[in-house]
Amino acid sequence: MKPGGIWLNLRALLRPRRAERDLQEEVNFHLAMETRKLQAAGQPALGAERRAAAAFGGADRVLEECRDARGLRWLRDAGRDLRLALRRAGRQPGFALLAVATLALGIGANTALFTLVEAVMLRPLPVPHPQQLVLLGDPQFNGLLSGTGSDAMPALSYSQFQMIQSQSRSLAGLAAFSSTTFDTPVSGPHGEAANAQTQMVSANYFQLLEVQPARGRFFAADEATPAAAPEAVLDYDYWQRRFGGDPALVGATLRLRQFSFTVIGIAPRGFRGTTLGLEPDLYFPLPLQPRIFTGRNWLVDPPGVRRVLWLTAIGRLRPGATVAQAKSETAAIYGRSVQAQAALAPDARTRAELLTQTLPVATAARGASAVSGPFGKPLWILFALVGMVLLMVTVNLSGMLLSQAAAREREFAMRLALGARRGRLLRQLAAESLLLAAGGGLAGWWLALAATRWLVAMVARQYGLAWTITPDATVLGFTLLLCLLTAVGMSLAPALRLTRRDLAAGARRRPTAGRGLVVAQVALSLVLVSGAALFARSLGQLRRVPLGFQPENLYSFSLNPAYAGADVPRALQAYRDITTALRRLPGVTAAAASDSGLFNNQHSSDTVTVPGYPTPVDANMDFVGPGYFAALDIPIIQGREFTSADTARGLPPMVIDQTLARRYFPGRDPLGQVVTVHFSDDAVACEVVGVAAPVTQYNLRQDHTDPQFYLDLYHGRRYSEVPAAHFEVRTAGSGTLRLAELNAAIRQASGLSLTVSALDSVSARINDTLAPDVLLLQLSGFFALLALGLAALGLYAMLGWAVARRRGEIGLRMALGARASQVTGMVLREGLWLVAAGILLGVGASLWLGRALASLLFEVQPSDPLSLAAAAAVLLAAGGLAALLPARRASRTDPARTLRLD
Amino acid sequence: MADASVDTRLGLLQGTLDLLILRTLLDQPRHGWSISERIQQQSRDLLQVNQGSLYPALHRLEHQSLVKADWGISELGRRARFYRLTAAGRRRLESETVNWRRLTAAIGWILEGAQ
Repeated sequence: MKPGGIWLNLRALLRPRRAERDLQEEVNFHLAMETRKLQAAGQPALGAERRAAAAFGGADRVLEECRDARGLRWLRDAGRDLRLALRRAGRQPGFALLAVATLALGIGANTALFTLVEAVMLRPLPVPHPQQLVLLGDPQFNGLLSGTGSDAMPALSYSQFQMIQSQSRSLAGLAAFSSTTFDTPVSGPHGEAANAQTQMVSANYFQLLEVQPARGRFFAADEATPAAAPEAVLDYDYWQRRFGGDPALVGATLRLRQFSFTVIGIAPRGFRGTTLGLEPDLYFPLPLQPRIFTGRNWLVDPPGVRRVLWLTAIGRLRPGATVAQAKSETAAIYGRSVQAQAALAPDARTRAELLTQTLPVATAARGASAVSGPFGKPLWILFALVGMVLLMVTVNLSGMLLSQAAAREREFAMRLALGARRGRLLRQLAAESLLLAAGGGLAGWWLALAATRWLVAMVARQYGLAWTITPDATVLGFTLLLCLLTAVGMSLAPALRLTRRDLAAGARRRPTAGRGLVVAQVALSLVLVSGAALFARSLGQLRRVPLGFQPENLYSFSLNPAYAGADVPRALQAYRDITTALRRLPGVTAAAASDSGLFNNQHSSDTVTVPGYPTPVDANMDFVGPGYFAALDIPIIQGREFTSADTARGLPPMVIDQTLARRYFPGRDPLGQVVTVHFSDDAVACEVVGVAAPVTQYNLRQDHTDPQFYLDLYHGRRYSEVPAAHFEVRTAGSGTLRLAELNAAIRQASGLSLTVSALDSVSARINDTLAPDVLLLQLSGFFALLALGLAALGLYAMLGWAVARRRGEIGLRMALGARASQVTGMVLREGLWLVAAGILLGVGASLWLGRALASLLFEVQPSDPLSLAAAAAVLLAAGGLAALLPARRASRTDPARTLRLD
Repeated sequence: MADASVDTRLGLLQGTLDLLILRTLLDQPRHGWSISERIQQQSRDLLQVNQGSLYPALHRLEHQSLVKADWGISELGRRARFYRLTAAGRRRLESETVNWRRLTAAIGWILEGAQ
């Protein structure tokens, strides 16, 4: 069609009345002119009008031909097709409802997952020229590292950032932001306190990203000095959410714990920082770090080799500079900083390790991401899963439409015989599919909005993120495309069938296409059911992981005395006093302090020299206070645990776990042996005083076979800064800990204004770590059930239709002496053969696709025969049940009646 | 009155009416009635356009972007739809005119040979 034609059509489509009125007016004008002419030639007025009309011919016919000529007919036909389709849907409300509901689930699930995929993997940062940005550090890193390391480092120290910032030539500018956000108490202008996510950024951060403040201003360069008056920029959403968008907030004074600061500006709407998944509420300049976290200074490198890595840097390439240039230049600068650090290493081994350190540099058009790391893989798996569900829904509806088409063959054959064009029939079929797909798409879009919110909230809670996303235009386009694709997929088989030339002959043929579709449905649902079975088995294995301690009635919380202004000796004394006070609380049977705590993403490991082993070995490490093993019910197999008397010992005591004892002290008594622990800045020789049973305390998936040792929290380590501590408290029976009582007891015992954070029951916390696995199981289970139901329905519909069609043949068989059971068996066999073929195909597909699941499964092979067998059994049972109904109906055929009917 | 009328439906060569319409629009834009009058005049009353065929033909030509229509005021002060040639219409007119000349010449030779 020519562009002009498209325009005319479009105009007719958008303003149909106007096009119609124009046409009428044009014809009226002609008739008036003709009448005038005839009158001028001497005709009487009335006669002239009549003659003019006669010369014109039937005005209606002419109008109709004009409409045809300009393509308006297409539009009217579409309207008629749609009305017909609506009427058909109205006549079969059950089928229409089923189709729309299953399509809504299929399209909705795909839209929800695509929303996540788009937000996590595809969407660029909402800043000008994002393609010029480069990221220094691991884009998936979300945390803070303290110590030394080797190979690729995820983040930078403050001094490293300053060094690269001042020496780089290929970058027009370099800014930095803390790799994670921190949950901090912030008091509003009227003193009301609430926690907020705080991020620290370099003074040039906003300027480098080229964003403009919604209100006020951003940081000026002199705010880079610690002496400047403390200032902060607020996130737009936070400003709206907490302060109702109050314009007076710019210039207002807020407080974070003990320090006051002025709000100087509001970040633009839609700007959520540079890390996907972290949504900062407040931005502070980096130099304010020691005032936000008193007792910690991450601006100055500690003496010795240890570094605090807490910054991710983002730079803008100079015009003409490439990422490769920035990479090699940064590598050189970073290398110099590492060499300076390595010169401080206490031993050759640490030095050699340090020299292997590198800094990842990559384009940052999409910024950093705290979610694509942990969530990326399950996201793709789920996306594939729901894709399969939609395919299944499409195949199922295709089968249903096919059996309907078979029932309509007579209607279509007659219309073809009467001269209807095949294209016209196809269009009507397409209109019906499109109508169903549009209904499904609409309901699916609504479903997707709810599902996305739910999924994102789930992920955000799991990984401790503040994360919200909403679908955008790309997602809407994706959904429309899905509707179109499913409509086409749905109507393909029936269309091919309906438009075959030999429709009359086709009526007698065996329904091979329908059988193929049933086999495909069984195969697809087998893949989904076996996937769900694998996730169920994996979750079962995770729940069976031996913990080595009793999580029931055990509670855990953490404290940081540094925020209350305590120094190291004061903090350690507070820990002792708090432990004693906790033990005296009513309902509490045991309490102890430790460094890493239980299941909270904190994990330290160090190297130790074991007598008899020339090279140091790696092991997990925790600092625990006296009574820790008793409080957790960890059996002491040999020797004893730490006591309060241990601080008086010369050699610090050490408890090792049985794994370490078996691996490094086979056949000898570990008690009394001296083991040297190599901290990055210190080496401490300790004496083994006990052997404990192995414990899983960090992560169910990884650590229950790693060797582990424990040091006394109060003796052995020279702390350079206040250690934050976790407390484990066991209550009797159903006793629970109340936050207010706990805070009061702690403040009284320590004399410090401390606030408990992260108070949890340990069982609940362990369950939380299983949330992604539970989510995968729930979703895959739900979709597997849906697929199973659809496959059964598809088989039932296909067999039912086949039986109806063969009624004459069955009647004849029965008239000739076939027993009812023989007829039942015949139909049942036909159904089960199809199911068996589908199962075979599905098992093949599962084995092939299952490999992608391997990394998500725990101690279950993707080819797990038990899961596959269970899935096959479930499908066989469902298929048998679905085949039984039409089979029974066939056996009740009345031979006399059917023979008379034919 | 006219002896012959141009009517595509009577099997007169397809496109003849289109060619005549395009030709009448060559000098100036016209509304439908004026086109039919012009054809009649120019053919010295030998051809009278079947008005029932004229408007579908005009709309078809508009749909093919060979003519463009705009509302204007007729010589008698009434609102009328004026058609004018587009560049594509002008090109089509040229090529169709050449074709028509060749066709009539060919038919002429055949008829003369038969005599």
